[in-house]
Amino acid sequence: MPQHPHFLKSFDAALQVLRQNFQQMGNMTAENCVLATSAYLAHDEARALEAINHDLDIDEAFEQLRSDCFDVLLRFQPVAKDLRLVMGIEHAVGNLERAGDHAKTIARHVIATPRQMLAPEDRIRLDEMAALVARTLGKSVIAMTDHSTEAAKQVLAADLRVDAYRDAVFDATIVDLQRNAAQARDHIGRILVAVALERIGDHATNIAEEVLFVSRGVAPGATRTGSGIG
Amino acid sequence: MTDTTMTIDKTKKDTQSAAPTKAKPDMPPAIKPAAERDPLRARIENFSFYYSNGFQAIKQVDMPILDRKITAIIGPSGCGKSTLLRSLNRMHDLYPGNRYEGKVILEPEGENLIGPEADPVLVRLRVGMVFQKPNPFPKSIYENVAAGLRVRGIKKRAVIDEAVETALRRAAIWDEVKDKLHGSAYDLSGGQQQRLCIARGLAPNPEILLLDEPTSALDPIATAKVEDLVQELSETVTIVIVTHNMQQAARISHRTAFMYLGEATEFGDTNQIFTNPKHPHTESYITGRYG
Repeated sequence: MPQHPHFLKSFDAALQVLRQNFQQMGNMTAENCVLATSAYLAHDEARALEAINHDLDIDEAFEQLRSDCFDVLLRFQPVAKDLRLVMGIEHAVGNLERAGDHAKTIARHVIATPRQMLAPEDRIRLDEMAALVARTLGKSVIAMTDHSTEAAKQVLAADLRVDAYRDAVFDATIVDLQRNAAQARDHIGRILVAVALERIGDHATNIAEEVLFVSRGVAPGATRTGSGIG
Repeated sequence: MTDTTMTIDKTKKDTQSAAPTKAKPDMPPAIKPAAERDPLRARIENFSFYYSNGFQAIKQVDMPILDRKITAIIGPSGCGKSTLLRSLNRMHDLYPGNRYEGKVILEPEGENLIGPEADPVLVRLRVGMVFQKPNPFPKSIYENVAAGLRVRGIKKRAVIDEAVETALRRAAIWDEVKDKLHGSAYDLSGGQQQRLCIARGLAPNPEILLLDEPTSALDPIATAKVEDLVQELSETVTIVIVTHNMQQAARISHRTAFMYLGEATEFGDTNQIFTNPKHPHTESYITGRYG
């Protein structure tokens, strides 16, 4: 029996809108992650304020998407893969919202410590880490909307690289603290930014786990033991 | 979520392993799939059904019916679900030329309900049935429930009185009809008539109760009452329900079978069937993409 569209065109339309809005929220969150980090690296308070304001849009998208998920559940009572998609998006938007909060934390740090000092290698490391995290987050969102378990696996694999960047920032910061304790505030700021980026990466990982649930019915969390990755 | 999707071979294996097994003392007891954990009330084995015109409506179906659980049968119109249900209490015997193959074994006795030695009338007392539309007899409420008992040969008034009250109480309608037992059953609302029919089915104390789309003619309130009743009854009687209402199957049943073109395509835990069906036909049907 071939796959057919749903009898109700409005159901397919509602699912499509859900996918599109989720993708839009994912793009906003990934872009804000890059914006906040670039503000930190450039000591740019105006850009940091822009990132803080963008977080309000992310929060609004979060509320709208949750409301849309409830609406689809109420109106269409989906089952099987449709139910898993709606539940997956409902969980994933929470992760995006939290990722947005971490980006806001980075931006707030720019305003709290306006004249921080960064060595060129630290700047490169954080820049690369932010780009990787944003790409990973974006990929997790596309994996959800496209039911792509392959993309989800790539996101899960990328988490190790994100952690490696965080560890590198930690190690470099410890050395700098030993050398120059007077600039401890700046050094600790780097750690806070790295931790925020690493947490954003974790939220991308959570979304990827939801993708495996949505696509194959693998329980979220199964990937932590390796049983869900096949 | 326990994956207990059944295939024909696995079903037989589950049936054979229903007997208690001794756990090794040095090992923790294994968590068994529900089909092995729960005792069976009936086994449908390699069952086929042919109408008198030769049309094969059911094709080699294997299905365990778990004791005191609700088994839902779903599937598109014409897939054979009602035909299968009616086979379980020999309803097709009322028309000449219809033919069964295979077995419907009632446990624990091991009696084949469709075997030549089984009396269809007695089978129907052990396997009660409630139909899509409430169909009370044109008699009093009391006589509707008593009818099944009289067929069973019970004549003592006191015994019948007690059994009628018990059946009406089990069907959660006693409080609504106790003061008008000798009034016409037709004076009841649709929902009450359906619960009266359930009481009539329960009166002979059947081991299995078959429900053929029992709420399709009822409003949401009456539907909710019947669903509550079915769930309560499942504590004491095995229930098999045919329904077109996916949410109803998901709400009340423990196991769900999906039928397609006369075959039992998928059988498993209801949660699994409605969240992660294994067969593409099941997925297409329950998500509304069957065409």
